[in-house]
Amino acid sequence: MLFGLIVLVASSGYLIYQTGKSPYVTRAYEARQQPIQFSHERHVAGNGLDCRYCHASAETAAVAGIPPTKTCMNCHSQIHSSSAYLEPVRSSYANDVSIQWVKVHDLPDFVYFDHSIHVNKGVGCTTCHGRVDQMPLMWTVKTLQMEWCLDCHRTPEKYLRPREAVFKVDYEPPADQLALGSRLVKDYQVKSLTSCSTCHR
Amino acid sequence: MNTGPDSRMSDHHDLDFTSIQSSLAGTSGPEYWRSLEELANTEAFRDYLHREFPEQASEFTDPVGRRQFMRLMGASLALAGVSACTKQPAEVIVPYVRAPEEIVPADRFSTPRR
Repeated sequence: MLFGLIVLVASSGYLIYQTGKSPYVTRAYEARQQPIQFSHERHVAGNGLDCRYCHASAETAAVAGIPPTKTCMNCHSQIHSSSAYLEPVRSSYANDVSIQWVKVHDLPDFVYFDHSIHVNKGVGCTTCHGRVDQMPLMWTVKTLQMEWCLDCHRTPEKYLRPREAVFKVDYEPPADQLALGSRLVKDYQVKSLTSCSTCHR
Repeated sequence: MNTGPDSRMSDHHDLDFTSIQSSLAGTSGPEYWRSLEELANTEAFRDYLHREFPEQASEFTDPVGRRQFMRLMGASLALAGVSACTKQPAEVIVPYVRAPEEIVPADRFSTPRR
């Protein structure tokens, strides 16, 4: 009887814990509808665009940057210039009204996050964002919860890659990832920052 | 009672000075009073003292009301915590249409560095 009670409490606690980080709660793997059916798969895998062509400030600023309509029109004034799918882009450009994209990777407002430091310390795009080149519409592949942040902040050597491979979407970690990661931690002087005020400033 | 501006002063003619004097007759040593009305200690004056602030005079004397107040406030505070059990609202990103030169959103320096 007592044993059964302990098992019941423990299993229901485990169930609540697992539900809390399940895609049902975090909305991971849920493709988000956007005002324009923009496909990362088309632009990255199909056309071979580099991440930084659109997300230009990923290496230098706190946010990677969502491209201005002008960036779309650089190509789409020539390519598919009369496509009905791109009418919102053209009207945005013609009327000087921003496109309102739905934020997919939405960290809570009480978290300070700087893109550039992660990119410059060898955290690859796909480490957090997943295989963007295989996403017709954008979705998240991680929980974006604090436990997930801390996993890497405690043991960065599990995830780091050489700086020159940060923007490679098809990067596969080598078999001796821990050896490589430990070397990169030393080379890039990566600190294991786990104090609360690192992110909650 | 009188309600004029000097009502308390003008009350003096209502006082029974003979009874005041007789009440003082048997006393010795220091006896202090702040007004003749206090000294006279009439029924009307005690009533006036009790109702000095008539609007608030009888507030929060009912123990059931105070308990009800605590109960409702406790429930409100407890339920306020439930509002945390929600998903984040959807946010939109509103980029530039034509990005101005040398302005990078969320860049501390906003200067070209490459």
